[in-house]
Amino acid sequence: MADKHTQHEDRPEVDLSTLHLPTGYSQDTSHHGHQKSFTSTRTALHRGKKIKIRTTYRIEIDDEPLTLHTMVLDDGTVHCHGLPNYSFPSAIDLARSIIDASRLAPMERDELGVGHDNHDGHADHGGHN
Amino acid sequence: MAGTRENILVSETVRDQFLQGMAALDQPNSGIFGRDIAAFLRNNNLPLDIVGIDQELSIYDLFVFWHVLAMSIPLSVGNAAHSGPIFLPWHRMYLIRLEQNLQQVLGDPDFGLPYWDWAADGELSVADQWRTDLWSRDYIGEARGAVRSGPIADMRVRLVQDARTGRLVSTTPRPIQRAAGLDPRVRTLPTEAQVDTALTQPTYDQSPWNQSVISHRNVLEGWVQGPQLHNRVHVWIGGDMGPGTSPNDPAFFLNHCNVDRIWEMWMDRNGRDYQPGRNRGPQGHRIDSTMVSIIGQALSPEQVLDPSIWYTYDHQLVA
Repeated sequence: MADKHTQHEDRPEVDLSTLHLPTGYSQDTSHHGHQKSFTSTRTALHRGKKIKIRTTYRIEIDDEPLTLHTMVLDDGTVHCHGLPNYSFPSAIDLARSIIDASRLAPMERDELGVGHDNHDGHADHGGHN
Repeated sequence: MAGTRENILVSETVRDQFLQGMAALDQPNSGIFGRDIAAFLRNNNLPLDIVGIDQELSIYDLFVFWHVLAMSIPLSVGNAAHSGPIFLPWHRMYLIRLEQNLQQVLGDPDFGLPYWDWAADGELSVADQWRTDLWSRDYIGEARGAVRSGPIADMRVRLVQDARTGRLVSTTPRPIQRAAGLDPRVRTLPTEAQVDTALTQPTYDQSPWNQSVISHRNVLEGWVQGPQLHNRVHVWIGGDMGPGTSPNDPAFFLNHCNVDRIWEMWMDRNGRDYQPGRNRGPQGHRIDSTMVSIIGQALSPEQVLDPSIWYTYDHQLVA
């Protein structure tokens, strides 16, 4: 879909009828995950020896698991999709910042989620991988 | 018509146009409502949920949505806009579309997005970095707390990604929130020396193409000893610049325009080189990969490598 310029206004228009998805993305494999733990694998080669480190994180906040993809980077810092530009020295630092940032998104009422007429029973997974 | 992209702290004309245009794009009159976004996500089986109030959105909100949508689409490396080679060309395409919309509302086809040379501010003392003119009522308003003064004081945040659940929340409209320099881990902006590190990388990108490589793209994106450069600016400003809906703050575009300018400076030195090429590297990041788009024609990295049909940076006009 393209930007349209109306004859009567200078206001651009956007039409959501066409979505261009990136090459290599498969909608068939796309789903809202309930993944509650995430494993990162880091590898390195040192003096001809192979190093492999698998780290699994299960992070809970008030007993609720964090379902956003979380990973350990090669430098040991921790990264979570909830704060996509951040890398944290520890998972506790990550969790604290997630809690702080979540306060930016208060929801007084839900007119769009599961159970509303404009949904056809699609489950609200609440997270993504 | 190709516009000229200038330093926002140098050209008051461009500053005023930018701020006026952003406020104009933020009027909730797009004809698209929260329910339309919900249907769009559902009908396309996309990995993003929206909850909250059913309100009419602005064109600006749709740019916010486009960004968080792209971030929500995983590829074999990173996502459709970050943490891989696609980071720079995707954001170039994204800025071109925003710039075109600003040209339309301003009635000025020659308008060019301004950039914020944050490395220049990074040379200031820690106490001064969040007190420059950029954070005044003549520019983009308060560096800390709610933005309540200046030309964008009336801009409203309507779509916010919940950092804890990943859901997109259509929230009661509120002012932009910032927390510049308050993160104890990131008290300062990037420096000129760090920009030089990005500029002196010999390769655009390389295998394994992710957040661990030493390459121009990954250094500039900010994952090497991060957060640095682009990432660092997001973290330093904080507030709405934190989650995937970070374009809610117009500072996002000033940041990315500067990032794009640095990439252009790298290409001035190294040629219009992009990796990975055809049939190489991770899908979705290749030179001929279609980039995710909901506004305007979807482009490939190859199509945006030379942006001269759209814009030129001020430094490129100097002989």
